[in-house]
Amino acid sequence: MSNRELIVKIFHEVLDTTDSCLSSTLEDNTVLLDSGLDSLGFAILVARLEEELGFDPFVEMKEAVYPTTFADFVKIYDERKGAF
Amino acid sequence: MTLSELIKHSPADRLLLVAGEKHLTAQAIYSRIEIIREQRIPHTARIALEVDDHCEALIWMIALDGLVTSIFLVPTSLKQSPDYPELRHQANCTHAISDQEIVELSANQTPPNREAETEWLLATSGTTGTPKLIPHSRKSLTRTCKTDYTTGRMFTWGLVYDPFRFAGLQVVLQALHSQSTLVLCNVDAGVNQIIDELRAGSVNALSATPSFWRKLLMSGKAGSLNFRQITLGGEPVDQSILDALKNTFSLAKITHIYASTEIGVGFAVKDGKAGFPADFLNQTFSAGKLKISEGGKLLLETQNTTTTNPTFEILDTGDLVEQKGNRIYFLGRDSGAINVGGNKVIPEMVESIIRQLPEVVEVVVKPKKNSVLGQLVTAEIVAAATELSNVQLKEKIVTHCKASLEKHQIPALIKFVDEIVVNTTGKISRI
Repeated sequence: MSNRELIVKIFHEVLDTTDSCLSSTLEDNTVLLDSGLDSLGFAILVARLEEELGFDPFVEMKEAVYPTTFADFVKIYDERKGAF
Repeated sequence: MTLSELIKHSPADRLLLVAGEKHLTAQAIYSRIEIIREQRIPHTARIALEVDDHCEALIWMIALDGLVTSIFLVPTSLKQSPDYPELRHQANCTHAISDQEIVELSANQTPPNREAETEWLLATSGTTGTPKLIPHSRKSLTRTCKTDYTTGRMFTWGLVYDPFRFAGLQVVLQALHSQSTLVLCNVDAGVNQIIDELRAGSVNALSATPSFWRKLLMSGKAGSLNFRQITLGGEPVDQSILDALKNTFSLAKITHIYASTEIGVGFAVKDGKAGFPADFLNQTFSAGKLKISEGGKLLLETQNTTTTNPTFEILDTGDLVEQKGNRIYFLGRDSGAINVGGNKVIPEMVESIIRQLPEVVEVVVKPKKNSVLGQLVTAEIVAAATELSNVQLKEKIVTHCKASLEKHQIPALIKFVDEIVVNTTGKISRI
């Protein structure tokens, strides 16, 4: 499973457990803040991904990067994975 | 009456202490006390009692009460802690007594008060920080002890904690005051071995934390025990554990007590329900009067009668409570709260909700560091034998939580484990 596929899967799981709904289909250009997940949802998403992948890229960043779109978010995970 | 006088006044052949193969009657204990007293320990001595063997340690404690200026009761786990040397320094000890020897420490500079009774120093468990020394007197520690020998002699108390921790000491003093037999269990052993020791000693009265009682119920061997008195304390007591104990030990009286090293015994609840009646707020207990702060913390108003003008002092117990109707419920420790993006979550409260499910035998809720919100709530679960898969049980837990908890209080991560670790005072470790 690619990072993107895993993120999409867990994204939906978290939507489900937090009783949130996607505002529209999850696309690369979906703006995260408008996606339907609130900050608690994002916190859970990052924690669940850490459970699956064994790392939290946001903790490891020397300079904080705030992803705007869904593609930005996936890129952060891809780049962290590529670093090893 | 000093503790050695209590022993002297007990019937000589009354069995008071059992530890493994050792069976000590009142007479046997008193002979040991006399040998200790021949060692001529000065009245001015401030003793650090570091004896590891619990039975020996108790005999020393009984012998020294009323004989020396102060006794610092050192639990085994504290002696090994890096905080111990500093605490012993604060206690101004002149002598340290261990299994092997009596060591004279530096001379005490403070003048002793020969008139005053022996001061007892107890250490807090330090679950939420550095352990502190709390001074007590025999009187303050025994004010709630029952002294009815006729009933007392029908009880055999088990001790599953270090006798020098507050909860353990309460059991010791209660047993001595009512001439009950006290069976000292191997506190480092697993629950199965402890159950064997309780059964071998015909123990019918036990005081333990809710976490210990849950483990005992999970062991599958609880049916081999017969309790007449069950006491719970040290952690919030929820309705599930009270009901489970009532179902398993139908003949037992079940009491949950509110006590701590700092305040002593606060009050006891005997109606089989979690929390305590709101009426308690209007009553005066031996420890003081209960109040609730605006932030929902339980406060204790104590009266200081040692000075000529009695003063009132408000103690913050650090316990969070909430009132529902005529009942007040404990939510957990204020200092243990998890901070989810500025929202406070009390782990014990979440645990009590999850524990309502029959598929859950034990649960611990802990914080997990999170890069988005600072902390998140996580839960470790010991599941009962169930037809549900882990995924299905996780879903059931989340659905159940949603019905009574706010979004941020619901565990974001749920992990299944074989066992939940408790610390030396029998409480769940959340670190």
